[in-house]
Amino acid sequence: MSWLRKLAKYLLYQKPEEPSTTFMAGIEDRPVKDVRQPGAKGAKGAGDKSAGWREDAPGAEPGTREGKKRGRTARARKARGGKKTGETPAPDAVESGHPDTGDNGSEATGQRGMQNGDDVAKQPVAGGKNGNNAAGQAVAGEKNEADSAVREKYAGQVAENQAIEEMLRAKTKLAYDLEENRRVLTAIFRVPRNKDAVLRTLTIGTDPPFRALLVFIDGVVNSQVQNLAILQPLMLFSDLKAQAEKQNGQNGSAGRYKDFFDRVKEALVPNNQVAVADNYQKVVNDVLGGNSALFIDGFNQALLLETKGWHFRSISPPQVEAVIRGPQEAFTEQIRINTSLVRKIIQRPALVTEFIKIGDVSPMQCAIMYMADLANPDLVGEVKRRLESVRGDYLQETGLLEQMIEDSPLHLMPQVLTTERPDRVAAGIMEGKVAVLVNGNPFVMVVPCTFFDLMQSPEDAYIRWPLGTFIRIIRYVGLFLALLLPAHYVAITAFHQEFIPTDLLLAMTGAREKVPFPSIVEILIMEASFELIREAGIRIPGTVGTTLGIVGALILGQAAVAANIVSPILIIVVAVTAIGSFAIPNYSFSLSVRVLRFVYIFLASLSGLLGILVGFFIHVGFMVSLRSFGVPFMVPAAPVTGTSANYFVRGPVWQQETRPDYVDPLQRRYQPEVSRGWLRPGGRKGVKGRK
Amino acid sequence: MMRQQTVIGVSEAVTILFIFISAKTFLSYGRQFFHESYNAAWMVPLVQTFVGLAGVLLLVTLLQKFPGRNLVEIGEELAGPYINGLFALFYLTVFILGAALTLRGVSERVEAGYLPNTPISMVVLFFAVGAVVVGYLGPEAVSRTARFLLGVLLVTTMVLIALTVPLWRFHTLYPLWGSGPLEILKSGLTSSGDFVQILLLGIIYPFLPGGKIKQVGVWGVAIAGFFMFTYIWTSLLVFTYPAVSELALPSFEISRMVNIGRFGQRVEVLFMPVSIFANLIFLSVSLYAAASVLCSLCKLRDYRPFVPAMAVLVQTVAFIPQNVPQLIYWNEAYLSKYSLGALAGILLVLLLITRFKGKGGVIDEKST
Repeated sequence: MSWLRKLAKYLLYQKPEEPSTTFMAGIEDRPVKDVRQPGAKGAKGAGDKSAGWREDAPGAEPGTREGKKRGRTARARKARGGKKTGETPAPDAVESGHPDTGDNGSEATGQRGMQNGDDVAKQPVAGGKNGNNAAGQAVAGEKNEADSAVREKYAGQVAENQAIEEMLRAKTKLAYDLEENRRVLTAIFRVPRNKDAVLRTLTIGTDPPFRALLVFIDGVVNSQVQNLAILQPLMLFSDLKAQAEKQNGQNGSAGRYKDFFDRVKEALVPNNQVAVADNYQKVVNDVLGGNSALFIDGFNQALLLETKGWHFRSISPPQVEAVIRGPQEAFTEQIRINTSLVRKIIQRPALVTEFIKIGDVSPMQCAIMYMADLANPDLVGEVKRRLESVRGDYLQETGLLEQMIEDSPLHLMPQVLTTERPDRVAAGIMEGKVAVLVNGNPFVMVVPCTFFDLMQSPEDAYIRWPLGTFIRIIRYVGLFLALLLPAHYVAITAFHQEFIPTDLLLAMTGAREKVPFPSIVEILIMEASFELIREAGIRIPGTVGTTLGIVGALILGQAAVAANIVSPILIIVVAVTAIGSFAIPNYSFSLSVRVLRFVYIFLASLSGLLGILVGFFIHVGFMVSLRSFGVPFMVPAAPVTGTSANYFVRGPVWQQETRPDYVDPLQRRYQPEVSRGWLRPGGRKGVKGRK
Repeated sequence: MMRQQTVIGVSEAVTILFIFISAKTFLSYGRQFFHESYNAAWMVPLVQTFVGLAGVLLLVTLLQKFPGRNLVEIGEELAGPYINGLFALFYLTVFILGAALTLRGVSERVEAGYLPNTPISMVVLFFAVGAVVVGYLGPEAVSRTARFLLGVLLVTTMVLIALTVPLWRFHTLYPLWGSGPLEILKSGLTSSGDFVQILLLGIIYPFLPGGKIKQVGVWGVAIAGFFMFTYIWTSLLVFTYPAVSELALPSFEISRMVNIGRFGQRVEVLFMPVSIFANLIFLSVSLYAAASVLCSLCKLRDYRPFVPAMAVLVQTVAFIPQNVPQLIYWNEAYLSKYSLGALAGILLVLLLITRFKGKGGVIDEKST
């Protein structure tokens, strides 16, 4: 009854919105008493050192006055350092260099941040990069306040977990001391309890040798790449190059590289992608993503080396959106493969892939793809804004994310087109739409989505246009049958018998004579049974799948008629309804039709065709009010926008000259006015009409 | 894109205006024309259309001087809150009485034709719920719903007319002038209130694209006039005069006349969606418009709380007429006869005040 309370509240009293305050924006004004760092007193499993550490690095506390001041200082120092060396500091390499070398930033990132855990309790929690982090901190604050028996029992563990979380969120800088880094990472990855995380110590075989640490997650890295591109060069060949240069009379690499860390990065690890990280959060994220992190003693940075070795399913034919004619490739669970599948189709430099991390506890890699020279920047911005604003611990599936970003989550209709076909995504992108890919999911979202998108199949375009039009009309007939046929059966048999021709009426009456139920009960029994069969058919193991067919066909069909529970004509109605629903190409849309069918049946049982028509009127009213990322759901039918040869029926491909105007793309024209250049003698395709 | 303010396109606005004016054809519209103009009754809608066009031009002239404001707000500025309160009361009466009589009329029609065993209150409730929900969703939803269903309305109507062509008897048109040109003109002028629904233009004006109001008004009235003419024409040709003057619901009787062979003898149910959808759109528009008038009058920002209240009022008024003949009489006597004249009077008063006070004058609609 919460809606009733909300309605009453809305009608009777509307509380004015409170102005946002610093207190509401984050918890930086609140002392967080229980936050302890790993290794602090009382925390379990934090190693032999009981001392915690606090974030004291420059620019890491934008939420506080002190942090801002530090940030400014750090930026100024960084700028000075950049000028000194004549280089522009890399975004990731905020503070680099060895303390002994006196390189830039050495003083700022010394070990002064290492203080006792008692001090940590007084330390305000650092703000994040953006407002989302502030919100996350507020959540963390609530967690602290909400005590429960379990929390009290495991207070130490809870405190340690929160400390780790806060430290990662605060982007705590790496330490110079390798042992310190090792100790922190041990706490973060819960080693030795956690057997997946590997912290492998090694010695880089230079003269003098350097101690190093390689951090990775076992099972998600490619061990061959690690052996050949990291361990072997570092342990066996790292000094060969220097010796060779000495023999050739050159001055070694001393003048060429900034320091030893730079030398390792530039000359010793032959990985194809290497990045530098200066904080634990970046290291942890990359390691969890399948990369390896290399720490070298005496440097407060880590090298992130590309060693991804996930096991994934290979590209296979589409399972849900099968076509007879057209590409037989579907997306996989690997986001990089999915982006490459799209890029394989659209080979244009304007195709942009942006990555966004979504989720709090387990951040999910999410990509948006669009054409920079086609997509409306407002649309791209809106998609990014919604994705970046999503908060949640677990959003690892397209369906979960879809519910977080759609305009009207309470509506039955899907407002996002979900597809497993790269060609369909590519077609959408080329129309100026935006694709949202989620790592670990073979379904890709395309936005904005309209009603007519949900009724289209890629195959409509791949066959000749009259046939595509015919198939599409058949599909609309299927939609009508799936949605309204059972309701019409109820309406006509219960209220409008005069509509049935006399002979047919006699036949129907004869068939229904022995059925003791009214038509509404009769049809509800059969529809509910069919829904059961359909649901069971999805969940049933494949080996016993045929049994379900026998049960469905014989027991629920023939036996129900023989037992005079339902009439034979109803079996036909239910079967045709089911076939109609299978003709709907979008699974989410088909599901909504299945639900709405029962609403129409109920309305028909109340007042026949009047109920159906009133229900349909309301249904249309809701649908025309829907929006998908700001675009009306029923466009271009309602509201009427620019006509196209491809929304209700499939027009000739050479007449589809413009992109849908409802996405307001940067380029309207899809193809020139005369796209079949051979029609004009000596004409070159695309000369006329290109704008 | 990503635009959230209410916008009604030209196509939707023309559709909503045309349906709002002509939805009455599915009830007892034109019944008195046959009594007054005999077999020349088909000319009356043409006279009404010209009167309606004149009314639209008058309305547009006023609205164009006050871009972005509806008729109630304009009246408030020109005539002050008290006199404008009287004007707004008239607008409310038009919308509420029109909706109430339509609600009762269409419910009686459904009751008599399709659901003889269902209580009238149940039928009324169904219509009211449909109208309230869509009216509550706003003018955008109402206009887009109307536009989406326009195809169904047009196709079904054309099929209905086409199926009656074999029944047309052209001899009934003669003598051509029926009761005489003067009587026809008089009939058209006295029943010009059938076009009082042009008032809607004054309510939805702020949501229309700039510079298009005249186009919307003229096209909406012209299409409605053509539709009403076609309907009277078909009724006359199918039933002939004087038999047609005895019918309470000519459109329903036309659908009952259709016979398409052995398996299609009682197909009036097929044409049920036309009358149901048209009247549902009429009711939704009326509820929204009435709520909007009240909202503007009370200077509130949100019209929606008024929609259910208006629905209750409309249902209450709908049950006041004792029976269908009284309903038809009220409609003819109060709405059809005087309402457009009263509206024209209000518009003239407001235009005179505009000229007297020198207000308005912003004719460039593109600034909206």
